[in-house]
Amino acid sequence: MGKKVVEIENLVKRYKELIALDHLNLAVEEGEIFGLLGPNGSGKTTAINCILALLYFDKGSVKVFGKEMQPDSYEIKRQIGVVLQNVAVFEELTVQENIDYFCGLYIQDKMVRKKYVEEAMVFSGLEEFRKFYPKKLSGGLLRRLNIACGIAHKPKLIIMDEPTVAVDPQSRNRILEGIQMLNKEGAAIIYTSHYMEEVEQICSRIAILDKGRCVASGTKEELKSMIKMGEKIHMEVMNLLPFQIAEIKELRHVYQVEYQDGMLEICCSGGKHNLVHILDYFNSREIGFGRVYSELPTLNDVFLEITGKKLRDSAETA
Amino acid sequence: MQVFKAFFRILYKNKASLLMYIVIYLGITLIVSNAMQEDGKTEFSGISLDIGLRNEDKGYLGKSLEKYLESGNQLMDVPKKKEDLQDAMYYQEMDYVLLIPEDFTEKFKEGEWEGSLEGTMVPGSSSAYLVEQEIQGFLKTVSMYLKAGCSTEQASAWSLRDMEQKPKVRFLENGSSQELPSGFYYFQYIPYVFLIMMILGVGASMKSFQDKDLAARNKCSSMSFLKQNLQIFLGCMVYMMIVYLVFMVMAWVAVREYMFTFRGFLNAANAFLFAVCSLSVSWFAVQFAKNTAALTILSNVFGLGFSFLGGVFVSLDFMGESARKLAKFIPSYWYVAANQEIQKVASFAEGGKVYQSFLIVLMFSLAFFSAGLLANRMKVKSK
Repeated sequence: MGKKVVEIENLVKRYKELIALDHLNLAVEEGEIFGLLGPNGSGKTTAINCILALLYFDKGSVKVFGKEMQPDSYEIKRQIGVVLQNVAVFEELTVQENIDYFCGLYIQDKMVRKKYVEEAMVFSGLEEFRKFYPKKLSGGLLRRLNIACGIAHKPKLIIMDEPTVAVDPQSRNRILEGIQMLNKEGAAIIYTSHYMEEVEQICSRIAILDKGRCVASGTKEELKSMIKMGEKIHMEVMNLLPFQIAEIKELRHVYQVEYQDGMLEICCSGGKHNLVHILDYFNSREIGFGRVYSELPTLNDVFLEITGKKLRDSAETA
Repeated sequence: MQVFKAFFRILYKNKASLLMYIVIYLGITLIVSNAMQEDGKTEFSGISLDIGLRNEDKGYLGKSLEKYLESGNQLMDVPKKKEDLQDAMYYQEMDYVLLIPEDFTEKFKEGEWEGSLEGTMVPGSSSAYLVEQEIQGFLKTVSMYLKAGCSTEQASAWSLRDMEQKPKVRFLENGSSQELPSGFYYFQYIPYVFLIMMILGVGASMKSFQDKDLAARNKCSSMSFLKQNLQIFLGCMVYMMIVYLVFMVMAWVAVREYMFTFRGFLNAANAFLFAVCSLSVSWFAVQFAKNTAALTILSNVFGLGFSFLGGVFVSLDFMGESARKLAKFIPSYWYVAANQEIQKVASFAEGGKVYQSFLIVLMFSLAFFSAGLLANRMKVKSK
């Protein structure tokens, strides 16, 4: 078990009547990319703001690098890099000036800073755009600038709050590769996103937040093993009758069947030969079918099963 | 000094609009200042009128009158046709038409000259009255000599000689605004440009630093919040000093002699205090601006509003009593009051009212700064 970089214990944060964080417990270890998942309003951003001491909380404790985090914990802050959800750069400064400015808030030595700024630009692929003003940058480049401003001073802990929102696949891929590279260089990363495949791709450990609580945490495999679903089978079937759907539901390990527009989706709990049993049923009833494929549960399935499929249309509180 | 440098980099991006205000201000101030000065130097000169004259008098007096009118005016032949005469009058080719009848000298000697001259003029023409006054003046002088026993020739000659005497005209110094030095006008309009430049300059930079996401990112950094704020404050003060010094250097160029008088010194002090006040107003205004466009609107609201109500553009003397009472709640009123008072005092020791205005402007600075702090606090709390 690695050294703990962030330790949150029984954290409670209220906004008047609303409980944004309800006795939240989390721990992020050295060298890991820690994914923080949760529906809108689950408390992800509030948790991050508490870690960064941007918000006062009502109860609990937040330790970063083993020390209590306070608004004036400047020595701790020196080792933290922040990439906030919204792009936070100066419109009036060029790409290079922006990176230099934010790096300069941490690094006083001009020569070191110059080197770090250059490295951050290379890292984020912004060398050609150093003289550009943010307004002239595309969405992807702007996101990369946002990241470069947060990591230029080579922090040991990087907190990224949805850094890939509204960027094209190429830029997203570049950003994800960059995050993995930063992690390989030794930085622990807390990463929040709504894109499950991203989190699945890069995070070594994941926590799922809902209603201010951590409802599940662990590695991808651990999370997948927590849910009922063991396999999901899709079949192209024409004119399936209701009694046939009811019969499929009665098959061994099958716990959910959905049929829509000629596509049958069968969710099976853990167990072997589920597909064989289903195909046997179709053959015995002489029901014709087209393509068939089976897949293991994804993080998205885990997320939906844990947090539910009900729409979260309330305002983001955090 | 990262924050300080960024503050000025942001300011530098807005240099075009700031420079534009300096140039416009300088242009307007110098034009107004010169125009006021020229008004004071205006000289008196007589005017020459176009008079249509037909002299049918067979005596000496008609010729004398013609000679007299010719000396100061332009004489023209009167058209024979009535229509041509009407056209000439209509198109103002002639200011007055005079017909001297053939028995004019005889009738004049007999004292029956009233109504014997036929004068035609454009109705309502002030120039024509001047001609009539000239004619009356000459004939009355001749009449006076005739009554004294002079012959017609002698009376005419002496009258011509008398009427040639030109009066010397000298404008009285009546203490009106015309005697105010150009330095007064240079400083009169400074509140407007200071308010605009502070709100646009300082406001643009502060607006960036107050952006919610940027502020959060800055707070996450290892530079203390106090240090960041001190650097912003320093940036504001340096900018204010730069603006002030630019205008003082321009004053030194434009009204150099005035600047080396004690009045110039008091004006410079007045302008400095108003620069401080403008900075406070800009800090207050920036709390209500959601973006740069709103900042431009606010700069105009405060710049124009304070200038018009405070008597910068329209003299306080033209304001009604209620407007003046209201204006007392505006710092520019006290700036203008000090500016006017400075022109009345003869030494530093007499500047009681001036210093009182200085103090009030300073109090306004504190009030706006405090109100800005309060608004900022409420804004942060609401977030």
